[in-house]
Amino acid sequence: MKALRMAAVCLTALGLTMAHAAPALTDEILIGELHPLTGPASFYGIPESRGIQLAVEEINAAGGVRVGDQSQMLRLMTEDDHSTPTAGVAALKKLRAADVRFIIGPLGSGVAPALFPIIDRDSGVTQIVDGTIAEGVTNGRNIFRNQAAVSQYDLAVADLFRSKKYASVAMMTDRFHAGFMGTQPALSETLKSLNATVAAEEYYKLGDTDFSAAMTKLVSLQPEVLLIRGYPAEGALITRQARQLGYEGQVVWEMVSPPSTVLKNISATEMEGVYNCIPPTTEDYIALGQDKALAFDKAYQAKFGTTPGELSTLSYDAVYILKAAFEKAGSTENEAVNAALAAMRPEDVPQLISGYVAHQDGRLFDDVGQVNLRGAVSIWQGEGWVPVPDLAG
Amino acid sequence: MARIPHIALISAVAFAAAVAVATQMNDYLLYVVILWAIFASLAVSFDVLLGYTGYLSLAHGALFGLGAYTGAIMTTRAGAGFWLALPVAGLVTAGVAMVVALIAFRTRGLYFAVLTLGIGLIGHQMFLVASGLTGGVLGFAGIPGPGVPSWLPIDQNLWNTCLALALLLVTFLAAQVFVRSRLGAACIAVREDMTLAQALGIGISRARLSAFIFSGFFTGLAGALFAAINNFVAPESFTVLGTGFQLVALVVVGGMGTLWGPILGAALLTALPEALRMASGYSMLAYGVLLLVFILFAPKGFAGLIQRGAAVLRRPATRKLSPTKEGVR
Repeated sequence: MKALRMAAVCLTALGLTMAHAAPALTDEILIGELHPLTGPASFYGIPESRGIQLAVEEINAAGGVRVGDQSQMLRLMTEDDHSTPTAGVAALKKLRAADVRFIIGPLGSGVAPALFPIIDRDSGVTQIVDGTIAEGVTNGRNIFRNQAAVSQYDLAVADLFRSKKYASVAMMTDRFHAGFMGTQPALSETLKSLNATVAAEEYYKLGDTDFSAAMTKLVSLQPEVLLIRGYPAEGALITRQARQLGYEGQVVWEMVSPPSTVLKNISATEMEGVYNCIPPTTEDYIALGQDKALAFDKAYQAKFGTTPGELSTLSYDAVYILKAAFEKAGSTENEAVNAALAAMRPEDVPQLISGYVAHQDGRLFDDVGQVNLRGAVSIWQGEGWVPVPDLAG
Repeated sequence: MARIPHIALISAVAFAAAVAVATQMNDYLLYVVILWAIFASLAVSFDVLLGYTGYLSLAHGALFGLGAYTGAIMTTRAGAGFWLALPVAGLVTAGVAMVVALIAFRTRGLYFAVLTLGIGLIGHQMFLVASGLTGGVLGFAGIPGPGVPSWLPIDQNLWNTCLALALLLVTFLAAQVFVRSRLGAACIAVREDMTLAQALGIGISRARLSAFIFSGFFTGLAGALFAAINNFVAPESFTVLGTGFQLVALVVVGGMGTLWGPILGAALLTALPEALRMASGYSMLAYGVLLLVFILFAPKGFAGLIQRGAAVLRRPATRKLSPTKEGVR
C-alpha cells in the first residue's frame, strides 16, 4: 500500500514538474517546437528538431535577436507529438501552458489539422509549419508554412509527365497520408489531362512490408510508370518487389526520402534510375554546393556527429524567419510578429537555405501563409538523389 | 455490496473534489484530465461487458469512432446543438452495438473476440472510405465545441473538463445501477457458468445483449464528447490496435468486474504517456511491462491490489481485538 501511495505521489509530482516549465525571462523569447521525436516518423522529426537547435544556438551565439533597441536570447522548448493527433494536441496544450507564444512544427499530416482549429482561434500564438505538406493548415494570419504544400509536389510530377509524355501510370499511395490522399483525385485528373491513362490506384499504409498482391496486379497491367506516394521505407520495398515481379517500367517517387532510409530496404543498384518529384531538400542543396547549405552541413555534423536530415534546412529556416519577423516588427507581440511575417520578403531573411521563390507581389508567404517552394525532379544515381536540371535531356 | 445512494454520494463528492482541483490546473493538465475522464468512461462501460459477462469485444474502438463521427456530423451538417448531438450519438452507437451484438453473440470465447476484431477493422476502414461523410484520412475538422453557458463564469477548457468528469460520473453511476439490477446478476451468471445459467432459466441472451447495448451507448457518448472537445477527429484515433486494445488494457490493469478499477487503470495509463512524454519509446515499453506484470502477478488489476492491501490493513486490527474477546470469555 505504501509503495502504491509512493508511486502515485511520484507520478503526480513528475507530471506537475513537467507541466510547469520555467516562464520566459523578459530578455528571452520562448520558442516551442513540436515534432515526432519517437515512433516511426522520428527519422524526419529528430533531424528537424536538431535543425532548430542549431539555428537557436547560432542566433544566441551571435548576440540574440535585436528587438527594438534591445537584444533578446531565444530559448527552446521541445515537445514530442508522436505524430498522432491526440498526442499533438496534448503537446500543444503543454507548450501553451508554459506560455509559449511562438511554435515551429508539426511534421505529421495527421497532427497539423488537429492543431489548426486550436491555433486558428488563439490570437496569442504564432505558428510556422515546417514539416507537413497537407493542404488547409495555414491561414496567413497567425499560421504560416515554409514547407511546400503537397499540390506543389504534384507540379513536379506533372512536369515530368509532360516532358516524358508517359502514356500510362499506376499509383500506389499511402492511405493514411492526409497530404497525398488529399490531392490524389486532382493529381489523377491532371495526369489524365496529360494523356496518361491511370491504369490503377492502389493503397498501402505506413509499416506494411508485403505488397505482393497489389504489385502482382499492377505489374500485370504493365503501366509505363509506377508512381509511389508516401514514405521511403515502404517506397523502397514496393520498388524492390515490383522489380522482383518483373516490372521494367519507370518508377517515380513522390516523397522525402533520405538515402540512408531508402537503402535499408533496397540496394542502390535496384534504385538506379528512379525519379523523385519533391522540392529540393537539404541533401540537394548540399549536392549543388550551395554555400549556406555546406556551412549548415558542417555545423550540423560537428554538433550532432551525423548528417542532417532531408527536412533539417526547413526547420533551420523557420527559426531565422521568426528571428527576422521579431526584428522587423521591433516587438515580440504576436500581432506585430504576424504582420511582419505576412509582409516578409525572401530577401529579408538572408540566412535562408531553401530556394523559396517570392510570390508575384514579392512576399515570402501568400495570403494564406504558404511559401512558394515548387517541386523539382531528381534521379537516383549511385548512392543517392541527383537533381535533374533539364527534364528534356 | 454498497448501496446505490451511498455510491452516488461518494461519487458526487469525488466529482466535486475533482472539479475543485481542476480549477487550479493549467490548460495542459486539464487536457490530460479530460483524456483520462473520457477514457475512464469508456473503460467503465467496457467493464460492464468484459468484466460482468466475460465477453471480449474488440469492436469498441470503432464504436467510439462511430459516436465521435455521429456527434461531428450532427453538429456540423445537421445543424444540431451539442446537447442534442450527444444523446443522438449515444443512441446511434447503441443501435449499431445491438446489431453487432446480435451477430457476435452467435459465437463465444475466442471466436467472439475474432469476430468483433473483424467488425472493428471494418468500422475503421469505413471511416477512411466514407470520406464524403467522415473526411477520410484528412479527418473531420471544424467540429463545434460544447459552448460554455453564459451564466457560468468559467473558461472553455475548464468547462470541457467538467463535462468529461460529469460523463464519467454518469457512466459510473449508470453502470453501478446496471450491475445491481436483475440484468447485471444475469450477466454475472453468464460469466460464471453459461450452461448452468441456461439450465436455471436465466435469460442469458437478454442479459448479454443489454450489457453490449449499455456499453455501446456510453461509448457513443464518450466519442461525441471527445470529438466536440478536440474540434477534430481522424480515423487513426479509432483503430483496433490503438483504442480497441487500449480499452482492454485499461480494464485489465484497473481490475475487471469492479467498475472503479478501470478508472484507476485509465488514470495510470493516461498519465504514463504524458509523464514519459519526452521518452515515449520507454512509455510504450512501460505500458507493455505494466500489462505483463499485472497479468502475471496481479490478475485482478489495480483494484485487486488495493482490495488485498485493505484486507492486510484490516487483519492486525482484528488480532488486536482478540485478547479482549478472550478476556470476556
